[in-house]
Amino acid sequence: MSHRSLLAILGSVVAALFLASLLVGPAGLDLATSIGGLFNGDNEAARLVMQEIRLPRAILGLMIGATLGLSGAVLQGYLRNPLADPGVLGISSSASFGAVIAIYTGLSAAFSLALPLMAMAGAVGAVVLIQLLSGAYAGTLTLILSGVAITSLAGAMTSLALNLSPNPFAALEILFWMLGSLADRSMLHVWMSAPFMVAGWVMLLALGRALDALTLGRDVASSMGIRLARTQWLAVLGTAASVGAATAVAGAISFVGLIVPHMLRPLVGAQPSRLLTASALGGAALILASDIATRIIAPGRDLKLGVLTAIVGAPFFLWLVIKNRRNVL
Amino acid sequence: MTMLTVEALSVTLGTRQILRDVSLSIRGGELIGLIGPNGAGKSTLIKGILGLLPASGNVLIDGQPVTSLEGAERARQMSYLPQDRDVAWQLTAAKVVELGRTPYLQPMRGPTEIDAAKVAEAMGEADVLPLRDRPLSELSGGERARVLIARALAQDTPVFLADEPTAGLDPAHQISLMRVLSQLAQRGRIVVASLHELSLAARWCTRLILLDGGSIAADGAPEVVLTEQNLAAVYGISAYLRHGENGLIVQPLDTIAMA
Repeated sequence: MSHRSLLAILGSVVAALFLASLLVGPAGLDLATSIGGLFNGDNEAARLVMQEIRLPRAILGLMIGATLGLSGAVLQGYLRNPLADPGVLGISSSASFGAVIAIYTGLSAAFSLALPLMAMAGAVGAVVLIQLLSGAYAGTLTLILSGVAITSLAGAMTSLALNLSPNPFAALEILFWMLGSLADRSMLHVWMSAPFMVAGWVMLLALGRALDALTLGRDVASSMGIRLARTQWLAVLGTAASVGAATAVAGAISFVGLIVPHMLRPLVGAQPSRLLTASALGGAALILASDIATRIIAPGRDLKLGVLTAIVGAPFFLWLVIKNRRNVL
Repeated sequence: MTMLTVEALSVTLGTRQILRDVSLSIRGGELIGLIGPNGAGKSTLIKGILGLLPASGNVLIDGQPVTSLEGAERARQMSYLPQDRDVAWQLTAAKVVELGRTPYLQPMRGPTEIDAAKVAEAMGEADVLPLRDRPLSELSGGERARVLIARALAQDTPVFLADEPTAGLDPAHQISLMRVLSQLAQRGRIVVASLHELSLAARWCTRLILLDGGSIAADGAPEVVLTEQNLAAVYGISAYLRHGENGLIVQPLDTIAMA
């Protein structure tokens, strides 16, 4: 299959799922009413459901999925490691921690951009810590251990915030938010997070050639004219901006960044640059599909998206570890 | 004719000085064997010339300091074949070789017809054309080594630096690899290869540079450098040396107590 046809197929799947996401929901609107509600306001209830609930949910699903798929592909390419992803490396949980601090201290209520900014600060902190802990030539084991340490630390600090939370309802709200969900998000969330996600994508998509060269190791990449410092900055800032913003609006959604690049890699001839767009589309498809599934599996029960991806993703991660066991140990 | 000049190159890693004031000049057509015991500074000298390590001193190509060259421009002057043959993802042989064209690619553009021709030429020289579509994971150690040489050849540079290219290869693969390097030099390139096999170095290289403790201990034709005295002083070995019709033959015999 040529690269163009792969992208065309993935693009069509994403478009179909985006449409399906607009049409599935507890309001039980029929097709004509749904589409009518999306474009004009004759039916006020349908307009509200479509424009205020389903449209932002679908847009966020698309953007967050693309962010997770793309950042996973970049981190795996940059670290030359199939076990890397924003969740495994603790970037998502650190972003969560940043966001929780913003909620907990009331910063986010006073200043709405505080939430994404704090989440991004958390993400930057995690990436810097990983670099410090594992050094420039990160081996798989060091890297995973760094991720475990950072995830634990961010988790502990988040627990502390919950523990000290002045009222139990706020604690419950934080906890539910952390499970990862796209329910009840508005266009405000889209406008708040989109600029950071798009800025992150621009940085990450610029890395294709560098990631290809890094296939042969840092020294060879450097000898072929790749500027390693610039590459590292783009990878770190791009991941922090896009994953931080995604986490700020949807909570931590794990394993998408791990699974999607891994599944698509054989279809792009393992070339890291070709994996970028494909993974962004694949991630968008996976999140849109999972989000639709949460609405179909348990309608009215508010099954959390992050819970679903973790239930599907964790066994996949185990399988990946077993498959790579010889390389890891 | 290309000229590579190294002036007082020193490299210090941590508190340890690995390379001390190494100066040399190499002209196109020479196949230089960089020899010396483990830790003598062979890899460090290669990386220092490439600018991969923080170093003091100057490296000039045709009189121009390489530090004045922008990344891709420098990469069109010098290519590097590392000792490590690790490739992160299961790319096909052709894709790996194509990576050598990285310094020539225009922003946002794929490889051109010229790039494709250079890739095919490099694969031909390293005799890996039949392996084009095979993933690297399926290749033997010798085949993988040749594919990686083709990658460096595709970079099409006047200076070619290889770190222990023969390590881990059987005699036939070692010889075919030295032949590729020798042909490269005969076409006017500067080829520098660090080597542990003294017999290969004596047989194929036009000039040997013997490093000891980060400095040059001897520099010249194989017969001049590979002497009983030098081998004893630098490697701490006795050796059987014979000048035959195939040039100098070196057979290390035993270790000797260092004075």
